[in-house]
Amino acid sequence: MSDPTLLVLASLADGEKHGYAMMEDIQRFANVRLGPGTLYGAITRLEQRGWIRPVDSGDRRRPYCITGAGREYLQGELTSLDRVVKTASRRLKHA
Amino acid sequence: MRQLIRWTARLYPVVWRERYGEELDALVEDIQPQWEDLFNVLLGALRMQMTTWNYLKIVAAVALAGALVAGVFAFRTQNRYVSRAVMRIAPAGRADSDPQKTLDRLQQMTNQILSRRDTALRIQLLQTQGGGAPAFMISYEYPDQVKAQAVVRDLVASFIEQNNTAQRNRPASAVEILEILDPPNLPEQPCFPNRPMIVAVGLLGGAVLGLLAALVWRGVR
Repeated sequence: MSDPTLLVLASLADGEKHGYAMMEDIQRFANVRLGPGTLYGAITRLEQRGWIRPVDSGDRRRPYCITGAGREYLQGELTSLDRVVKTASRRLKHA
Repeated sequence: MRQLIRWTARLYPVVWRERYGEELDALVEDIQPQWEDLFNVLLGALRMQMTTWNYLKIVAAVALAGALVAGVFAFRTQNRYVSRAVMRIAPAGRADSDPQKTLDRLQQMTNQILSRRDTALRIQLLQTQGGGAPAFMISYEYPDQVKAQAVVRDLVASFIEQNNTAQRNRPASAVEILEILDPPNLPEQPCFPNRPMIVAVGLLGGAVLGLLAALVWRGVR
């Protein structure tokens, strides 16, 4: 899974984070290092779609949190991914 | 490196920078920047520019691309030069001559001199002031200016030779004299390609295409 939007959503699923915290988190759980341009490209798209929103803070490192629609989208994508993973595993076992 | 990334981040659209610029700068301060981050920010800026393009930007970009393509074409196209000579067939003892007869004679001589038709060669009857004997211009276009001049010089010599042979058995009153008014010139400037014109046409063509692209873009969105 290397889709930056899914990785960001997955990172925000357990609570709000700012850009650097997301980068560190994604590196840790997915072993993928998102560059600053890729991360903020994904944040821009996700915010435009209403799947994440900024949290009010006076800091330049503005945190983001996942919205209900974002959680729903992530759930749908994970279900679909889960189906792919299960099918592929089953076929590998029988190959 | 950090400063380089900050400068690169200025390539993002202004509207985007107003919203996310501070955050991106803060992120760049927090990370250990690498070369790949610089390219990543550059790519991100280009992508963001493309997604926020308005019609004017589309037209400008396609026009620029058109000018660029036309420029490459213009500078890769070989120069062509035209050498010219002006001659006149004057009937001896008479001031006037029938231009059509002159043209027919020229055509006849050209057919005798040239074994095949060459599109680079042009023989053109010129308007003469005061109703004098008609003059004609021989021009030849070639990528090498010296060779173009040599071809016209050879043609002029052949015309004179042909004319002398044809006049040999004619009575003195009917003899037609072939005069050289302007000898074959060595062209200094190429006649083709007109590079500024080609680039201008590319720019204009690109702008029209860009306008069409912008209309299609509007339809898609």
